[in-house]
Amino acid sequence: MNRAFLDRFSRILALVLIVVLLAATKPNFLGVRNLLNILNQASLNVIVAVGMTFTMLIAGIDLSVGSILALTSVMAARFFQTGGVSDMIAGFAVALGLGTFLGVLNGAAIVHLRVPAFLVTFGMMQAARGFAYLFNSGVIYNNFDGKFLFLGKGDVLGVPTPVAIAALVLGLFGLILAKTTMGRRVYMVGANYSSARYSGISIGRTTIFAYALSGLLAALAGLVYISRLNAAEAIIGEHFNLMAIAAAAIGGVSFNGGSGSVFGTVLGALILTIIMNGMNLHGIPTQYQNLATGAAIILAVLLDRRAMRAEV
Amino acid sequence: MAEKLLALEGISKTFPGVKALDDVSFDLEKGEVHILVGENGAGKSTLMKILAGVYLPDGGRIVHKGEAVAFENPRQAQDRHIAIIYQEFNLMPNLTVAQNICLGREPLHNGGFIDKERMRRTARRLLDFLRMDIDVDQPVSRLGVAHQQLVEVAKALSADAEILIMDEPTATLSEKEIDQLFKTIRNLRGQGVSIIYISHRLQEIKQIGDRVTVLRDGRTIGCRPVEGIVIDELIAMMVGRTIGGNRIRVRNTARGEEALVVEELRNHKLRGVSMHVRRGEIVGLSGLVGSGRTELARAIYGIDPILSGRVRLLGKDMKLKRLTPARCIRTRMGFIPENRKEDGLTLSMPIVQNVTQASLGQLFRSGLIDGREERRLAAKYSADLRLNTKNMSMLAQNLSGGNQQKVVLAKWLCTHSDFLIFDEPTRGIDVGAKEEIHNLIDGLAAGGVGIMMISSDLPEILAMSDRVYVMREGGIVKELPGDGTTQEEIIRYAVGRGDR
Repeated sequence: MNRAFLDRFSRILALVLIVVLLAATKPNFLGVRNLLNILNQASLNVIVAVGMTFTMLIAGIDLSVGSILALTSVMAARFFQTGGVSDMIAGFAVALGLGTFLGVLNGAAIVHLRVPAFLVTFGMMQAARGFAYLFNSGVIYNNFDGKFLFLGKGDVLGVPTPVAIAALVLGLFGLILAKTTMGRRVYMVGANYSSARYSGISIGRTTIFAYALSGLLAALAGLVYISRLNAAEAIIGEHFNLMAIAAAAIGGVSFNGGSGSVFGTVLGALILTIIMNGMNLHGIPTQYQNLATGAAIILAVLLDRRAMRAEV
Repeated sequence: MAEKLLALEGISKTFPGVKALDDVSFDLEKGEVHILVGENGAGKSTLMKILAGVYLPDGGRIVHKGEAVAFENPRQAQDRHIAIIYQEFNLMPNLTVAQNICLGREPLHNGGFIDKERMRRTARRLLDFLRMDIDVDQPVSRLGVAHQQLVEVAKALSADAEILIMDEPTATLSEKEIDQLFKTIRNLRGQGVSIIYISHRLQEIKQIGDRVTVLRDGRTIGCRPVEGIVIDELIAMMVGRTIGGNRIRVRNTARGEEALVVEELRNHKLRGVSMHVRRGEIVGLSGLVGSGRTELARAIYGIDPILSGRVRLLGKDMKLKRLTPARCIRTRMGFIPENRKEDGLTLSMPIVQNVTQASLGQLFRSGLIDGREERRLAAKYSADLRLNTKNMSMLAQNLSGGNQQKVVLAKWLCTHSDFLIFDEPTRGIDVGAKEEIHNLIDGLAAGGVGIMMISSDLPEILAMSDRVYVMREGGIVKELPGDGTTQEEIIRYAVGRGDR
C-alpha cells in the first residue's frame, strides 16, 4: 500500500466515521435536505480552498483570499443591481479580472522581490481589505437583481447553484492539477524547487500561476457569497483565509509543498462543515465548534507527520 | 586470537519488498581501518545504520567489547562511543565551528549557562589534534567541504569516539584534500581509534586500509587483508563477474560542427573563459574543486548570471541576459548536475515523473499529459539504461545511488538533447553502474551528441575525453589532448605548476 492511498483512505474513513456517528445520534442528519445544506455550506470554502491548494502545493500560502474576496465583490457589486446583461458581464469581468490581477501581484512579489509568501500575502490581506473599505466607505450594496441572486440562492435541477459551481471548479482544477503539464509543474516546484529549475521549469511562471488561480477563485467565491447574502460590504469574508487553509491541511495538503490534491482538500472542507453541522444539530455552542475545528486540524497534521516518518 | 573490538554476526534486515542484508558478518579490531566496499544497493549503508542505531536488525547480533548489545536508537550507539559521519553532513551551518563540535555536549558553567570559553578550548584542542588551523568562532557555512568534514571528525572525537564510521568521505574532496584526510585517518588510527571506511574508490583501499570486506546483494562476499590484494580481484568480488581494465574509448578526431562555443565568459567566478565542444566529441573539464568547473556549466545553462562574453549553443547565439534552463533545453541542451539528490531528482516523486520532468512541454504539446504514453516512455528509457526496477511508480528516494543516477540520465535521454553537460556523472556510484554510464556517454557521443564532462576522477577524464580543458581559479589554463596525457600533467596545470 502506498502512502498516497493511506493518506486519502484515512480521510475518507474519518469522514465516514463522523457521518455514521451523526446519523446514529440525529436521524434527520441523513435527510436529503440536510445533506444538500451541508454541501451548500461547504461550497464556498471548497472554491477558495481549491485555489489555496495550488499555493500550498508550491510550498506557499495565500493569506489574502478573504480580503481579495471582499475587495473584488464590493468593486463589482454595483453592476448586479440593474439586471442588464452588459452590466452583469462587466461585474463578472471586474471581479474575476481584479482577483486574478491581485493574485498575479502576489505571485510576482514573491518571485521578484524574494519575499516569503506568508509576508507578501499578509501584506495583500491588509492592503486589499483597506482598499475595500476605502472604496465602499460604509455603503452596503444590496437589492441585487433576481438573475444575479440565482448564483447564490438558485438551484440547478434541485442542486443549489453554489454546489454546482463548486463541483465544476473541483472537476476543472482537479483535472488541471492531475492531467496537465502545468499541474505537474506545480507539484514539481513544490516537491523540489532546485530539480524543477534544472529541468527547465520556470519557478516564476508556476508561482504566479498558482497565486493567480487562488485570486481568481477567491473572487469567484466572493460573487457567489454576495449573491447568497444579497449584500456586499467591505467587512465580509474575514474567516475565509483560515477556513481554506484548514480544509487543505485536514485534506492532507503538505505545508512543505509537493503533496496533496484538490480531492483531499474537498474531503477536508466536508469534514470541517459536517463537524460544525453536527454540532449545530446537537445544539452545541459556537465556542466548542471552534475548539473542534482546531482539534481536527492538529489531528490531521499529526497524521501527516506519522505518515512521513513511517516513510523514512 | 585477540578479542575483537566489535563483531556483527549474522545480521539480517528486510525492508518492505527487499532483503537488504542476509546473514552478514563483519568485525573490527582496535586501531584498524577496515574498508567496506560493494556496489550501490549492496547493503553497506544499511549495515552501518544498524551499527549506528538507526535501524534495528531483524536477526543476528552485535558484540561490542565482548558484550552483546542492541542499539535501539543512535543515542545508545553514541554512548558506546560509536560515531558515524554521513555523506551528507549533520552540521548546523549558522552555528560556529566550536558550537558544532560541542553540539549536544556543551560544557556548562555552574549556573547552567554554556561555558563558551571552555567550549572554544575543547574545539581548538581537537582541531589542533587534527592539525587543522581554522577559526573556531566562524560559522561552519563559511568553510569548504573538506574543512566541514574535519569539523565532523572533531565532533565525533569530542564524543570520545572509539569507532568512527565514514561513509564515502572522499566523494566531494579534491586530490589534495584527500591526502589531508588520509593523514588524519592514519593519525587517528595511531591513537587507537578504529575506523570503518566505506568507499567506491578502490585505489584508496591500498592507501589507507588494513582489511577490506566486500558486500554484494546484502551478503558478505569476503574479507581480506589489504596487503597483497589485487584490485581486479576486488572488483570481481564486488560485481560477481570480471571487468576488463580501464577501457579506452576510440577517440573521436572527426570534425563535427560546433555544439558549444563560449567566448570570454565572465561572471562572479569566471575570468574570461573561452572554449568549445564539437558534436560527437567528449570534452573533459578538469580542475580542483572550486576552480570554477561547475560555475562554468551553470553559467552556460542560465543558472548563474553572466556579466559578459558570448555563448553560441548548437548554432544559435544565446541572449545572455535571457539565458534560462528552459531556453537551453529548447535549444536541445541538457545538464546532469553533480548533486543528484538536490538538483537532479525530485525524490518524493515516482520514477516516471522524474523521467519526463525536463521534457513535459516537448512531449505533451497540448498541455495535457497522456499518462499511458508517459509511462511507456519512462519504461523505455529506464530499460535502455538497465535500471534495476520494473516499477515505474516507485519513488526516486527509494532507489540506490546508481539507480538514482540512471533516472537522472533517463530524464535527459528523454529530451533528445544534442549537447549535454555531465557534472561528476559517476560520483558515489559503484563500478558496475559506472561502466554502464561510461558506455552510455560514449554511445551518445558516437550518435553525434556533443558532451562536456566535469569530473574530479582523473582516470575517468583520461579514459573518456577526446580533449581535456584544465581549469584553475575561474579560468581555463590548458587544453590537452585525450591521448598521451597523464594524470600528473593535468594535476600540474590544475595546481598552477604547468610551466615547470
